[in-house]
Amino acid sequence: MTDNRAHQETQGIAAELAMDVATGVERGRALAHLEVCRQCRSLVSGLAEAKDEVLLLAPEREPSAGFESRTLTHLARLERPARPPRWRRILSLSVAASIAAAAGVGGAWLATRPDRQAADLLRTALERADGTYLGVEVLRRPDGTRVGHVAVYLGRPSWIFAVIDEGTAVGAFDVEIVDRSGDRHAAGALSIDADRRGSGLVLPPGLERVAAVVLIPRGGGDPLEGRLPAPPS
Amino acid sequence: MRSLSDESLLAGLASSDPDGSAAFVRRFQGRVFGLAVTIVGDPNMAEEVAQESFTRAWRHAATFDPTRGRVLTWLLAITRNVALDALRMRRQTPVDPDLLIGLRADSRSEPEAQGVLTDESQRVRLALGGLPEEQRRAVLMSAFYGRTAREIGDIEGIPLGTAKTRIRTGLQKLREAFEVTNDR
Repeated sequence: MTDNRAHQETQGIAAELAMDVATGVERGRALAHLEVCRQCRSLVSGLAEAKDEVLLLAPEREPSAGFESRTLTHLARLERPARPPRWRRILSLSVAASIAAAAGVGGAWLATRPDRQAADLLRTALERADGTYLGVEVLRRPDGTRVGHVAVYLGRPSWIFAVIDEGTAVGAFDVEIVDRSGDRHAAGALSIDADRRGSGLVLPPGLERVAAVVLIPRGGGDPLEGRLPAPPS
Repeated sequence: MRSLSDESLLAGLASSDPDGSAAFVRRFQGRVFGLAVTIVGDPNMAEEVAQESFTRAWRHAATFDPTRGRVLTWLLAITRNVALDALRMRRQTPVDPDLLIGLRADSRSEPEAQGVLTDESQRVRLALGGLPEEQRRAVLMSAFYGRTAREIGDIEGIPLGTAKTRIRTGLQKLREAFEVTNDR
């Protein structure tokens, strides 16, 4: 089949691919074409997003009493699946949010755990993500006043997630990374609102030797710095 | 836990953290069970579907890509697949698509058994209500019941090409409608 015919055929069944109801040889050819055609991928992806939204139509309805405990008991009996290959994706945003929220705004998860449990959780996350560092550092003003936390993950990709304490101004921040040589590198911008008080970003590649994370308020004011512990010599 | 994001709770589930897992199930069980019962009809079967959906979420949390969508839509897509598998295995008959968006009253069930429409449900319902009836039915039959274009053609008594066009045009219009509301 020529590329053009494959393209036409894939466009013709794009909606069924998005609905995951395409079948047979037609589906196989279309999936092969999607590998090489960005336009068709974009079309199918957009239609699939619309399909996902349609599912939100279903009304919310609570299951019978005890469903939660039955489900949790069932999950606890299952064996942990083999090491997932794409852990870093979920870690890159969600564990950062968990840790940061727990350390800062939420205050009730990691913060109330025994240190050993928290350490185990961090270690497990780090191992699964193939990273080199995962930690939560205190954010301080230049005078040493504590104003929040920043979770830092160094891996592929590296990311940070900052949480600003109540009582400290939020807004837009330019983020700079200070490397171990003392050089500063622009790493992007964060917008932190008063409601969630936290936000994160993925660091540009090549910033592995991080010594500190600095948040510079765009509206003026003191920079907020989270300094990582020195690596073992 | 209430303040943690959906992604955070998914990470808790994936790492088998007891508190995180419980919070994840608690936050989403109404949506998951609601979709399951919408598709399969029978509440007992829907609970099995819902439990299996959480199990798959636990197993496949690593495939979740936060740049491509929300945890809720990812989880509902899993639930749909589990429910469709269950429907096929047990040869259940799905309900009329128009009952899904309340264009006709369902005389078979009590109002309280029909669940609570969330703001998101209302938004989708509004968008679907803006489609021509034939496109709406085609989209709902395919999205909720996994009907192929050929099956829809047979059910509606229309040629295959027409069924394909109805699904695609309906989905495209919905996509545009959702983009407009999401931009607001």
